[in-house]
Amino acid sequence: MSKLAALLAYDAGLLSDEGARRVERALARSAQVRRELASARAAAAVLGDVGPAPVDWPRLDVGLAAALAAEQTFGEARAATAIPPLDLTRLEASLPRAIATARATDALLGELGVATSVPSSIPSFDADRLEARLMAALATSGAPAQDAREAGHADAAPANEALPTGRSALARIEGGGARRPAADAKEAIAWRALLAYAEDTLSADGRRRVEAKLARSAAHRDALARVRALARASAEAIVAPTPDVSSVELPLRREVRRIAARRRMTRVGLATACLAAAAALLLLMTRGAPEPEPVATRPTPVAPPAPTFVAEARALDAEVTAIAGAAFAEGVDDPLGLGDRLLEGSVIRVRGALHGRLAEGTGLVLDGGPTEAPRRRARPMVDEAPEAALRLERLREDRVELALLAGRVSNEVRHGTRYVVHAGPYAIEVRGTRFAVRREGDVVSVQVDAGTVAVLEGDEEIALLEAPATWRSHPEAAHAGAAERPRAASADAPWPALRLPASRFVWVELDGTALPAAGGLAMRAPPGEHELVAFDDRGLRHRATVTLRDEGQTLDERELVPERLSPRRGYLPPEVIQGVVQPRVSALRRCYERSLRRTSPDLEGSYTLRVQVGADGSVRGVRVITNGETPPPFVRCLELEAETWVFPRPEGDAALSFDLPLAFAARGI
Amino acid sequence: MPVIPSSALGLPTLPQDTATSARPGALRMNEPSEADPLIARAAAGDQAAFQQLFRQHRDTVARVVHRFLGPSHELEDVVQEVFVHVYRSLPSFRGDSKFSTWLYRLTANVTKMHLRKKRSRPRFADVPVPETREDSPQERPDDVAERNERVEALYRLLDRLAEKKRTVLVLHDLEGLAAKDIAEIVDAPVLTVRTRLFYARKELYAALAEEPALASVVARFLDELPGRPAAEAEDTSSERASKGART
Repeated sequence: MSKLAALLAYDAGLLSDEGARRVERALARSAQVRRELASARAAAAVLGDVGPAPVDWPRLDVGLAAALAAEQTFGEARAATAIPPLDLTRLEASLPRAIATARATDALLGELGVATSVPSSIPSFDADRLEARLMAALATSGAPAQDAREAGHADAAPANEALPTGRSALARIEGGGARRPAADAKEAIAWRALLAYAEDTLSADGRRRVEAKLARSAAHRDALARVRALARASAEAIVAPTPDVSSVELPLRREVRRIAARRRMTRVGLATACLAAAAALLLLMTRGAPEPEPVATRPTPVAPPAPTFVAEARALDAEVTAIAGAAFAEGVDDPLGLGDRLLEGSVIRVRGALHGRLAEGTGLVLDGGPTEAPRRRARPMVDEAPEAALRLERLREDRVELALLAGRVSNEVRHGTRYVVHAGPYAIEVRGTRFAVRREGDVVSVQVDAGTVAVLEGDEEIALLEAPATWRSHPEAAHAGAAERPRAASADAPWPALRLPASRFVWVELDGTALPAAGGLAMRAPPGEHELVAFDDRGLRHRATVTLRDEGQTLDERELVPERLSPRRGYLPPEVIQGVVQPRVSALRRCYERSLRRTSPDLEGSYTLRVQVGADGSVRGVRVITNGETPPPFVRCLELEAETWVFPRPEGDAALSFDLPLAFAARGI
Repeated sequence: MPVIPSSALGLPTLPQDTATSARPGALRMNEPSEADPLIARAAAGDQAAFQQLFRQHRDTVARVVHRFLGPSHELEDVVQEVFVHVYRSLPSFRGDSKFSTWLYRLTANVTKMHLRKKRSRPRFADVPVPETREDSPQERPDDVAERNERVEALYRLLDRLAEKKRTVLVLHDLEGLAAKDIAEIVDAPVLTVRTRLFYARKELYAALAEEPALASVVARFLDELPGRPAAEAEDTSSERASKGART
């Protein structure tokens, strides 16, 4: 054996000069040695042919020979050679294949007539022996996982590159040397054996041995079950279909266009620099010798061409003006807060709502979608709220470009601003308007509340929407809903902050802005008195009057008091109410006509009269609800008029309130 | 990674082609020849050529990113980022390696960067796993839900692996690449790849029990194994014997 090992080592170029000389002397002396070398080379060639991937066979063969001839080591050959690092892992991985190829080789060598000497003298190709050794390692090793724990590897995996190499590897696989490293290698072999068993690449005998081991050892059974479970989970992960990403194409195209433009700009810059250098050179060359009267005759210097700056438009000073729930700018650990800058290029993700001011008169609201009517009742908690995501592609004075990734963005755009919202394959372009875009996957819907927007697909305009208008990319698409008005989009100076920490309230309204409140909120509001309405998770209204000072204010949820509920509610049939109100509508119209004549010639609009009726049928209170500016004398006139109404005693002998919608135009009611 | 038949394990059967799709093999990118004029044109800044290149490779890139991230709503972002990198780096692609290898490497690196960023970010609620292919009508919703749970659990475990180990494991066991190809992608010797794979699997084996969804699979496989450990059998028989003696 040592002779064969020496021959293999010689063939692989592993011997020292002295070792190689000795082998060559033996080759010259003995025909038998020459035959053995030829056989070994034939075997290596066959193995090389059989192997599906190019493998460093001579080296591997030496490794195999070394590993498997534990008791018949290289002997003098080893003493004379420096043994290079062995591919121990690869060696182990290729064991099942080596078994198969060795069998094929044996058969082939038998046919070639060299069987007489080779099989007996190359035990490394003895498949049974190979497997026996594998099994022996398995039998003497502890359970793989158990060993790992004992060796302290369970928590800290050994460094990837800290592989057993060289002599120590040989010692390990031979079972010599220190016990611990050998156990490490055996553990690896045990795992390989289990893998081979699970892959069904062992011979019947091998399977029997593994099964015998499994029957004896619960730890090995557990290890095999884990091997199978992981294989199973991996297979299941593969089943999951890959989502379609064709929608990436459009934003990608834009990005690529931008990169290309930047490249061109760099090239222009370089060319300008070259021109400037050439001009400077020209100047030097034309100067010539100094003139006698330098002042009078100094040549006019050739001015270098003015550098052409393709200046980027100024970045917008965009900031967060209201925030409810959780919002993050991608790549930043801290959540976004009130007053934080919105930076070009960042992706904003929101659960809840975020209001941002981009420029004077231009702002946006990012949220999961419109709230359903009757809204403000029990709302989902913030972490259940749908996520909205928006990439701020461009925030510059010349143009604002946003890419809506999910959810809804409501936009208020000052006239004259170039403003584009990309949503999936669509682009929604505007010039001065208020509109909302909603995206769920590739389904996009748009609602325009003021002004005009164009919907583009690629470069093609597919819809032109004039307010009031809605558009959906798919008939089933959810509506975008009315655009929320961004807070403080037109504030001349930064408004103070009003904060409400996380509380039992799910929804808060202030000056027409409604925000989810469960995760806490903060918003900008003008200094002065505000009425804040909050809804708890039972839909109960709470109110507080807040006087906001310049330094801002944090509200305590206890400051919000529930609206007083009548223990019983009265009832008046609609026709009864109508019977009382109808004959008196002319008085309300007179209020309107008086205001038209005296104070507000342009007055028109819709109003709601909220009327509270006492248990005795008399009107106890009237409020005019309006979402625009209404002249106070007009409001007062309406209220005074309504307060004179008398209704029959309500059913149930209790108070009630009802809303009366009114619409006034110059033609009358 | 061996693919275990799921019959008789009480686990739903996987669609037929999954076993084969995950087998280690050659790189499965839509391989253009190195002298592909499309690549040269795209490298020279031809946007139409780049668009065509995107269409050719988007599914593969999406698949690889998907394998790395698992169920995620950030897939599109990452795929886009990969192709932006492709466009930026194409001029420096010299054809020293195959285009597919280069693309795999770039995809793996961009995804790794993304995962790194994600780790430093608070997580929003879990993303539901997308519904599985429509051609498995025999699957009950319960089965689908359970499988989704297992897949999510697997990705939670993958999140705990060191980056290099995760890369190798995903490319080998999920994407089905051969170690030789992975070695080229991660620019490490084959031996190192195998070592990383071995330790990655070992860590996963050890951690399986911490995920209830996967621990139950282990338990089921354990039950299916032939024979019982002698020690256990002895214990039970001696218990029975002692019970018998008492009665």
